[in-house]
Amino acid sequence: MPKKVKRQKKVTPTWAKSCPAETQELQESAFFKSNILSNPLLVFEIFNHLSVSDLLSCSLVCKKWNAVSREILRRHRGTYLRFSSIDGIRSLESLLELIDNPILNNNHPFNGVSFGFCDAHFHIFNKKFKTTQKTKAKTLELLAEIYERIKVKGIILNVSQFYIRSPSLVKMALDVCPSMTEWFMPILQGHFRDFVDTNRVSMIKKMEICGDISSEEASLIEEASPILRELKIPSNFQLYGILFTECLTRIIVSNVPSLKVFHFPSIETFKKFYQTEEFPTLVNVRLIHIRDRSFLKPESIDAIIDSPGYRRIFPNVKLPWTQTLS
Amino acid sequence: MPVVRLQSVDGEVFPVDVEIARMSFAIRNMLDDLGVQDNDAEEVIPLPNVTGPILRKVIEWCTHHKDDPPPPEEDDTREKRTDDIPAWDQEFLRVDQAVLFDIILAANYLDIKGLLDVTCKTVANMIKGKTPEEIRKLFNIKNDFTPAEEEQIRKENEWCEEK
Repeated sequence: MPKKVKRQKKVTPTWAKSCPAETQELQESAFFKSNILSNPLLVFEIFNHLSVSDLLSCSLVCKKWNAVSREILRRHRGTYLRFSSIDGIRSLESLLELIDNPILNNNHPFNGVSFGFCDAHFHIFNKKFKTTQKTKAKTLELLAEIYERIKVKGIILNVSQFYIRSPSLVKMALDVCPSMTEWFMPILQGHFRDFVDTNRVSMIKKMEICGDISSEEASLIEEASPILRELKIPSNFQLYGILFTECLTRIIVSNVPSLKVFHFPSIETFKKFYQTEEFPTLVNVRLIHIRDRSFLKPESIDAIIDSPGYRRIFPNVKLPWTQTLS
Repeated sequence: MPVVRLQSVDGEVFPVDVEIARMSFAIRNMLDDLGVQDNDAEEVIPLPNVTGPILRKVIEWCTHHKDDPPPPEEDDTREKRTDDIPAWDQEFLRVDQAVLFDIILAANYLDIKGLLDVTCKTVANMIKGKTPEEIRKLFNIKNDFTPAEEEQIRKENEWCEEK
């Protein structure tokens, strides 16, 4: 019964076999040790503790580190391709060339694209430039190709004012990129309809509800019920009136289970938020980001954490927003 | 308190409280698999990948941390903190790079999550804020890129933006 003997051997862990270890095992272990920083699993463990800028440095150290850091950037940090410095067809073409370069197995770090329009001169999206139809078509074609190459998962649009100038942008971006799964953007009146019409509501993961949203738009968002992971609260939201607070409450209530991250522009807005009784308890929120912490003194953190409103709305938040204080 | 005896690759035997030895998931699984009873005090567990001095360090760490709550399951893929290494651990890990790496290997092999975590954090702190060249020097890593490859990575990095 040689088969049975074999099976039994397998059950005993190899390292539990009798000592002393065989020479081969010793050699393997020595080899392993000299290569600890080339063991992808251990390098992965170490890199998990690094910021994006440190990961970018690590990507230039050696090929193995490049592979691991790129993987973390793309999969776990969601690094984005910054489009704000794009200034027309030329730079799109050189970008495409860069992405297309097979030199390191196309192991680029991008998970999505991010548009920052405030300082961009992205001709087709900016009404100040009179763009010909030909240029427009070429730009869209190049964009589509870039999206396809880097397999865009997400799009971030950073400047809400921009929408006022170019309301068709959302529609255009949706047309150009059929395969993306995440969308981070400010929601302004009228734009949500584009997502409903193209069955893309489920890709909206992070939303900024702007103050001038109408109650019809709020109802539409509520009905279509996107599954929101992150929500950005506008500054001075309470000044927009009861109607706005009601809209916000409805959207928050319908997303209680999925909401994990909240963004606030300032400590003031954050305080106003947790003092608002209408808002429900957000059991799954783990992270709070506050952009401007300049008015937060270490001694006032305790006061916030101890306040009944904070404890009611955010019972499970870790406290990273205190981290940058010393 | 029942005791197990751990034997390092160089033949040194360490009697260790079962509760402390069980902080290693590898040892825990083996004890469970073998159905080791409390009175099997003579049972020797050979650890063919760990040397005596390193095993001594690992046992020292486990003994100090035996009453720690189990580390939380982290589903968060954001950057993890590295500024929260306890003072005792910082002192404990003030060792040669070679010893630190050996402890990482042992923690990985013995599957001791807390120790693996804190040692990896220590290495991460060594990397933070350094240039690629400084990192290579620090760990004696060979630059195996061609100039063209390096240029490609540099250009890609310029396009990167954090979400």
